[in-house]
Amino acid sequence: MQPLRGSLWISQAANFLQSATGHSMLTPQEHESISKLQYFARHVVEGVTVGRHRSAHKGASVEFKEHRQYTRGDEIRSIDWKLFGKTDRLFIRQYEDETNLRSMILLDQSGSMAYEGSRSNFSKHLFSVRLAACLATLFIWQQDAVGLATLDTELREIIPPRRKPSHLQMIFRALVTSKTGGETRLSAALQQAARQLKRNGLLVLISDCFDHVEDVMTALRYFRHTGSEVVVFQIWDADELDFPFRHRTQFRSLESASHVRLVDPNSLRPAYLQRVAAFRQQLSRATAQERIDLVHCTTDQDFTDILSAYLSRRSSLA
Amino acid sequence: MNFLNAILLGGAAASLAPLLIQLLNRSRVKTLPWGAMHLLETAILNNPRRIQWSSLPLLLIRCLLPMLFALALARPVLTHLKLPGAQAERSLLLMLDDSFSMDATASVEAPNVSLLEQAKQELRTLARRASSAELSVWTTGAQPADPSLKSSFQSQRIEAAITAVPGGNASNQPVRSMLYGLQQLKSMSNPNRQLILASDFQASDWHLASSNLPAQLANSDFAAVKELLNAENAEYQLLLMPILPRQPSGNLSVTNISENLSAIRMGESHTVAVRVTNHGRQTVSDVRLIFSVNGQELSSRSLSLPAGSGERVEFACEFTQLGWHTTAVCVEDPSAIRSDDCAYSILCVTQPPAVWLVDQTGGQPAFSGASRYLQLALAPFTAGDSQTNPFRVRVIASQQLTAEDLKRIDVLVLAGIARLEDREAEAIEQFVASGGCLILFAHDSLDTSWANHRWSEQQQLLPMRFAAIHTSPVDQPTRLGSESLDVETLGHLSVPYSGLEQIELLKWMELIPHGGQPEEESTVFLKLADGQPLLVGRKHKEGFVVQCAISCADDWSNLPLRPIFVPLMRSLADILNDRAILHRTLSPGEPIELRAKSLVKKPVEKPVEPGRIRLSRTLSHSEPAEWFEVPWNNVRTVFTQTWRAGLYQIEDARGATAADIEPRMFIVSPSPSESQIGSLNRDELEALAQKLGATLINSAEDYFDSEQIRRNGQEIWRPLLAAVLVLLFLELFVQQRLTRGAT
Repeated sequence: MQPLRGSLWISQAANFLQSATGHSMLTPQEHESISKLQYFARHVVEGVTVGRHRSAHKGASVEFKEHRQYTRGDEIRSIDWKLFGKTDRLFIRQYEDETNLRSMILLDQSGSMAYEGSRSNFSKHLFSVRLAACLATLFIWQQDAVGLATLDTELREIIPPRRKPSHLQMIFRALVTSKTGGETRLSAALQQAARQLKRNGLLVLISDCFDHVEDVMTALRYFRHTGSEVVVFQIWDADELDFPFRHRTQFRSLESASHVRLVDPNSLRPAYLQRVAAFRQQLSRATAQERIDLVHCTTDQDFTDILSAYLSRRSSLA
Repeated sequence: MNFLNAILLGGAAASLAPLLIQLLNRSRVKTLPWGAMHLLETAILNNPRRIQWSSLPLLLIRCLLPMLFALALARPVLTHLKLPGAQAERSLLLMLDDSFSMDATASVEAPNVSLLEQAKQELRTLARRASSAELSVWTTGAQPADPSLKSSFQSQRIEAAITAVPGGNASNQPVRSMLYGLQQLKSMSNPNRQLILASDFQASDWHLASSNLPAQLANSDFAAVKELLNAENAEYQLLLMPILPRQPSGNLSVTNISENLSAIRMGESHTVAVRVTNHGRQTVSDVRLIFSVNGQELSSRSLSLPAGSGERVEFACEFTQLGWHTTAVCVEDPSAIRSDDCAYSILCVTQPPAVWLVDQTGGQPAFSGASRYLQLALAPFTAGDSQTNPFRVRVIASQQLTAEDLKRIDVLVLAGIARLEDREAEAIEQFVASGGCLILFAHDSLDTSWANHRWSEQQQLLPMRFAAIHTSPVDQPTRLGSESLDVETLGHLSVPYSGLEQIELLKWMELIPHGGQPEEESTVFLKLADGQPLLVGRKHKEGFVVQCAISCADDWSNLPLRPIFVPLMRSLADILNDRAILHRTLSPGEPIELRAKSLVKKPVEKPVEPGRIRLSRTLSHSEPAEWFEVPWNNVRTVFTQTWRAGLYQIEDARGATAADIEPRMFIVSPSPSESQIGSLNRDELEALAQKLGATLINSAEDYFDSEQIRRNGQEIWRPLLAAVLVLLFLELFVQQRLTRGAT
């Protein structure tokens, strides 16, 4: 009963907080969006998790797994006294451990995430929202605690990790109501998050990482030092990768309206593509060095593919 | 530079259109919200200048396209290619190669069109389109196509003259013809003088054995042509128009290689030998040769000839009638060149010639006197007029010589005379002047001062003067050398075992040339090793005189006792007897003298126009004869139209004194080199043109194009249009490159 009451209290507290910080109640459209998001996420996650088994962790649960010999330091209460009576030796009973993974999804909603290319159906931000919804659903289905934090120039909203399925509603609502804007200061926002998110666990960053790689890595390195596992989903639009523009174009920054550049894409293309490749390579090298899992996504990719690939990779790593 | 449509140059303004479009495009900029600005910024920093230059080539091409197109439409003319004086009126001498090699077909597709017809067509086009030009037509036989038409301003007459050129000329003298043509051009009135030679440029005509021009071309005619063309103030232009077959064709030729006999005796077997040559590149099988005598087929033979090979073929025949006979060996199916498909020969079947020996040294008994060996050699069998003897010989004394009697004989031999009475000498002079043959032998009793005075100084009858008598010791006699015989006339006697080297001279009379008379006129039949003449002959008026430095008896030399004596004397008599008919085989273009002389009598059957002789020319039995008419003055005339190969015969005559005109028939043999079909290739033609300072043209159209340039300058719209096309492709290419770069 305790956890239920706790979660109810948190939910109520969140609602109170929301109303206290001036956020309006959900509109019917937002409700509909949540439903759609929920349906979408469930659909994707079902597709991904078909045939998968439960957690391989051992720990405190009601389901016996095996015996092992007692060693000094083990809890006395874990000793199987009946077996001691039969064998005159001390054995510890081990049970299937319920996962204690605490996942925190960090969603970048900076201005650059608002870019929507000509060949994809939605913007990078919307793609990130859907990906976050899928991941949250996946974690909850795995009985892991999942939380959400949105950030742009700074940390905007934090939903602490919870394991209850009803917690998804809160996450979805936060996702649906998230808005892009502001300049990317990913490193600063991450550092802020690191200060607030004390407990270690799995940190999932969904962002285009358009910031200085070194600064971002400095922030992520902190999470690694606290024992957290970090996964970065870098979101790209296909246009950003191949720069398909032909005519002279004035590029206006999504983060700063005054930042405008008039260029001839044909002549600039090689240099731009070279720069993109260098950026990706730099990020890949840095994440590999810090043992951070980096997943490149483009907005025209299928979510099932992304999640399947991600889970396969995690399984192989485990 | 001039423009024929200068107004269209305004179209060049269209070249501004791409520029304007470019500028408009630059001003119409699309704004795009963009997230990855920091990546874009870095790229811009690294690549600031390419933004301005990458599309410039495309813009440049697009600007050039309308500009060049407008320029091409305006038809620019490069006026600096105009030649000074080219505007002046022209004098054109059209020279047509009418040699029989031009009978070859131009292409397999049109077997009935010969190279000659093609050349005529080109020259007719030239004549028709060369308005206001003075025109003249010549053939490569170094004569005008129409002797009555030197030049004309009427192109119709020139076209008719071109059409009338029969072709089949057996002789081709292109260089000499060019020389004559250039000299003819000099007399033409218009200042801009051009000679256009349309020919198949047979390598043999130009003495080209290989691709390089050999030294033979540097003959006098060629040098004269070059000098005329390359003179500083040269007024001539030479244009060479090759009329070449599309595919090399093969050819068969038949050449007579019989012994050079013109007179044979009745009943003698005669062999006609020909050489059949396959000049093509493929084997010819089952070639049927037809041997005919007097137009009647006598026998035939089939043979196969590999490419480039020849074979000797012989046909035997026998004549049972006196008079002139013709033999012909022809290829049954005409080959590419018909003029060399037949080989003719003319034979005269005669009675034994009448030879009188005048001997003042001998007595009545036979086989005595200076002429006894000669009598035995010429009539060995029985009495002198026996039909079995090769000659009808009679020994007479000089007193028996009368002008009337001498008309009945062919050869008169003065074998042992001292001097003659004036009457006798006059009779002999008259005999020689009217065509008789005289042989005078030196002798001990010969009054050389009389002979020199009368027949050398007064009458110029003798080829040389008699001089001092030379003697040799009996033990060291003078011998004849192996090269003593005249090769051309008596060469057949120079065989081993003829006994030529065994002839020993003890005495001989020196023969010296007349003062002031060229020696070339005399023929030395026999000479000593040191070159002293022993037997000399020379034409005198209509007759022929042979002078011998030794006696025909055995007291001066052992010549009468040697085996060569009989054939030598017989050959000499034959030569003299055949002298009038030796030259019945003519070279192409060689004039022949027709004269009244009764060697063979044949009554005229059909009356024709008085004062005209009709001649026919037969090339082969499968072709109709060609006819000529020659004016006749009852004594002699010269027939000059002997350019084409074939058998020429006097068919009928009227106004002739005795209706027997000599020769009644003669042969014009084609030049064997013309049978070898092989034109100069393009490189050789260019080398020839360069050597001559000539210009090569391919056709009449080509000529007028080059004339247009010479007169007005070069139009360059074609290369401009080509440049436009190239630029179009280039524009596509550049655009594709840019597009590929964009994706």
